[in-house]
Amino acid sequence: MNEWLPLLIPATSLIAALIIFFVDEESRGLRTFVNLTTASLKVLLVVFLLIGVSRGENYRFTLPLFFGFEIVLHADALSLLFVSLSALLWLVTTIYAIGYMDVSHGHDRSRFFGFFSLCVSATTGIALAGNLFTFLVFYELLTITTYPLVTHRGGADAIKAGRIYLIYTLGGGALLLVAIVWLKSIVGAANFVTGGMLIPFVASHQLELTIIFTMLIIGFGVKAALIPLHGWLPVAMVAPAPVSALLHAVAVVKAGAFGIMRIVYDVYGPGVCTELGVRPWLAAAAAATIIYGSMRALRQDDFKRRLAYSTVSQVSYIILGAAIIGPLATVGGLVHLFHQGIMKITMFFVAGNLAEEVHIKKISQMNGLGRRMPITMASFSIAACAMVGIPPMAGFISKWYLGLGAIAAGQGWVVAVLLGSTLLNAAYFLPIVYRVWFKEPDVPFDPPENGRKLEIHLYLLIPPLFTALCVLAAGIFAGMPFSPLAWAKLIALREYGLQ
Amino acid sequence: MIPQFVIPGWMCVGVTGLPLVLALFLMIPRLRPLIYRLTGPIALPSALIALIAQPGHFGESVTYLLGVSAGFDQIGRVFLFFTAMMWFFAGVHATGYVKGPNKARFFACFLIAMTGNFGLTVANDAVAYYSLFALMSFASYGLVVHSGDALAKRASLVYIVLVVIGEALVFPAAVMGAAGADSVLLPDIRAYLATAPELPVVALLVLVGFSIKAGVLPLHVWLPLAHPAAPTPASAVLSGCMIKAGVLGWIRFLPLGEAALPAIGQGAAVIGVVTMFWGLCVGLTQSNPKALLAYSSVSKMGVMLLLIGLSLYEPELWKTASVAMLVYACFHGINKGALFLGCSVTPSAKRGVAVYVGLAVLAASFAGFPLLAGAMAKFPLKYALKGSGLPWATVIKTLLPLTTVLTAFVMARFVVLARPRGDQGGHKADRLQTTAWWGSILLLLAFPLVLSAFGIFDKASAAFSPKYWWGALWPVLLAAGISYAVIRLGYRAALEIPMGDILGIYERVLSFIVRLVPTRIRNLITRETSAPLHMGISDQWKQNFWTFFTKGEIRLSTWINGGLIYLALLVAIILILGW
Repeated sequence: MNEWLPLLIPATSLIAALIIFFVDEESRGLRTFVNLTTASLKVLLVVFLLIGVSRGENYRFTLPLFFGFEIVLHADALSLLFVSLSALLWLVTTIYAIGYMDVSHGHDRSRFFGFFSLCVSATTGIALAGNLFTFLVFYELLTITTYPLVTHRGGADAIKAGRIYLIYTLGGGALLLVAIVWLKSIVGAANFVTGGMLIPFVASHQLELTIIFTMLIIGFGVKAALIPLHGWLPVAMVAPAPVSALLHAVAVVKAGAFGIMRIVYDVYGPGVCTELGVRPWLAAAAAATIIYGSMRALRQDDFKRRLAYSTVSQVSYIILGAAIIGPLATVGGLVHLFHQGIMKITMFFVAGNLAEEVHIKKISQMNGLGRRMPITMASFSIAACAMVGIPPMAGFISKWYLGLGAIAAGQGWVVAVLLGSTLLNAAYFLPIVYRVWFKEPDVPFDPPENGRKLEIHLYLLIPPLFTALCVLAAGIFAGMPFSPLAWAKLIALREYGLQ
Repeated sequence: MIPQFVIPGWMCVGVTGLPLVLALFLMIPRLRPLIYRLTGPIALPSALIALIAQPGHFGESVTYLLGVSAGFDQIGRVFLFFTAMMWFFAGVHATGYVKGPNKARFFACFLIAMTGNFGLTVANDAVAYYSLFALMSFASYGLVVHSGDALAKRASLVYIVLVVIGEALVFPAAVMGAAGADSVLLPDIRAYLATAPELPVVALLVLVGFSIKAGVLPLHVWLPLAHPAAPTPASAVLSGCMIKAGVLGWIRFLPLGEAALPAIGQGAAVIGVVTMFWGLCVGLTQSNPKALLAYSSVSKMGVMLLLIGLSLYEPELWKTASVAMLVYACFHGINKGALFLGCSVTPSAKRGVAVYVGLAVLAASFAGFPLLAGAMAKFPLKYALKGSGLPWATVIKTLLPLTTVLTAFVMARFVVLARPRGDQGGHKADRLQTTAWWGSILLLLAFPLVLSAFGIFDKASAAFSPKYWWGALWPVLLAAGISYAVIRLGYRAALEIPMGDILGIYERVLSFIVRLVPTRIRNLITRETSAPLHMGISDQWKQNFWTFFTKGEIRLSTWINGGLIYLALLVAIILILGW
């Protein structure tokens, strides 16, 4: 059982995809049933895994391939952080997508949901990958499966966005391939090892390892949207709302950030990174991205574009956490992987709801919207305050640990970056909150259709509300066992060999 | 004597969290009228537990936030008591005062801010304090902006900007303290900071960060704007209670009485004294009674900072200074809150002796009239100043009567501005509002009882000895007499300093700095584009990319020209040499 469980998790979504591809376009009930059953099943499996891994059980699946390459799926604490994020948010996003696609945007739904499931399958594969080769396989698979989702709407904009997305990500993938093969030539069979595996090679291969590290960071940096590799992300905003939500919160951007974490913690190891002297550079790149993304976000009037630049900025918190030496900063970065996911997905659900229900895409049109859509906008306000890092929301916990880690490592400048980012986040999120609640509407909003009492269809209302409550809970109950923070601490203890 | 009980931590959290629970019920429209009526009374349980709590007991739970600790010490008890009482009166007052379509929004913000303000008095860890402080600060934005007119918009913008800056300054201080102490508990942080090398940095961050909320020069600019802009019950709690959260922040985060910081302490004391006089002088020129009261609050928060500064200068002073601060904060909270409530009760009241008496009692008490609260609060302050070893502490002591006289003048002017006219159109106070105001006056008159309930009366008891009466009486009489004469003679204030005084300078400096920034960068930050979706960064990049090459090519071609000439010269030289 322990051998098959890591395989079963990506397989659930894969099976779902295969079934859905063959479901008739009009069989909504069947498709919804398959979607929700597999998504729920996956959450259950992940809960099972979580308990097992916290007890220290070992889950590993190995499938040898050619030339000593092998597919390894392995559940450790770090992969569980990502798997649980994607399982949870997949379920929520599936509910949202059912509402979004089936209620109004009805075209090519089977294609949409099929690739949607494939995309999640690839994401969990990335999370569970036990070596760089497996990681790369799923990473490329993710690129391919998200393309039809980005271009789902059709039209020139979507096709162009899809092309830009492919150019960026395939380019990054090619660089990764070279780097991984090169690394393999030095190290040999290389499974991820908690705490790193390159210690014996540092002395003899210092230069090569530094170059490979740079290539890997650039390769993953494309998806993690490190500047100047972030160009695809704002363009990919043409995708339907659930896809944007998934792209920004779980799948693509996170895969890049997660890749960087794997490189830093489980391939190179914190000690080796310090020895090679690459961490200050990584920290500088992350810091620059944090500030630059926020500056760009300030000037966007298009709601989704502002959110996109905010993602650019926020994802680099995770990388910053990896770039600072010491367990506390690691906790900060890891926990932000989860926190950023639930915060940002809430915002994209909200953006989708606005476009869907009142046809609003610009921030300047959002005056007084709180009265028309109170629950949606309350969810947004919670997420926005959390992004700024106002306690007791989730974002504050991340910021607090990053700050603690920076000070413990003697890197006071990081605190200055965090503060700058706080102020910038406040400058581009709080005015929206102000508009929504404290300004009078310019024009009356469209009333709910055919006498519906709710502000929007229930399927579109529950997901943002649920994730917003998660944002609150992740902060307020940060001290609970199995909270994101508790799990991040567990990972940090294992990575630094403190447990 | 009031019996004392050990209040468990969960009860502290539960009772101070009641307003938040009540706020949730506002979501049900049917229940709203009931909730408006309960808004005041919901504060009473908090006042009660503050009264009966036995100090020194804290409950802890690791489940919430990063580990929460809550309970009462002597300081927290007093702060919670007067805070809860003033929120009670203001809440009752608000029930009839606030009208209009945004009533529910106002009460939601009011109740949330209330929870923040109550909670932070019982918080014993840095994260909870910081969280509740933020909750209070952000929720009270809704109170400041409520009326939606031009003043409210400007005030709320200035307010929120300063709140965010304040949060940003306190955050690193809290993180540094917690990182060093390896604990989020405030006593641990204070103990660590007492000997920590980074104490000066943390102390500066804490002093500046919380001075925004307290309203200390030069960061007081939001206060004289926000108090007049907010509805009266909100101004009452802003000025009576919420600015004290800044003072409590200093007390909670600084290792007062444990570490000496002579330079910073002296600096803080100087700023405190300057704030004291600045608030009074500018306050005198105001013609809006609420702005005048706001400046008076600024001045009194200067007194608080002075005490903090003196205690940082010499830790031994903290013992007497802390009592002085407690008594003074309690007095100011009740008296200033009552004065603000008076602003909405008196103008519309019919000319009657009773309303005049109420107003006069409040003003006289604030000016230090014998046997009233203000006079009592002054004695612990004098003891603290007397005990100070700071070389120029004697100067402050001699200046003290001057502030008393100035305060008396400010109050005289307030009475003139807020006097019953019976002709005020628009708002007219109903019976409940008037009763709440009288309630707050009664609490003020019972000040000696409040102090003795918390066992801090003995330092203030000297106010009852007749030999000090004349000293307290003459400034009030002088101010009242001169003001009366001035009004009779028909003089009007020649000078009126705009609300927010130096805010104008800030705005000018800010716009100057903005103009210094190159246009290209400014555009990047400020201008909102609505470029088509695909005109993203990549296109811009492409453009830059090509310009780079175009420029490069031009440069290259000039090099080639230069190179050709050089080559020709070289050939010529070789030819000449070779020949």
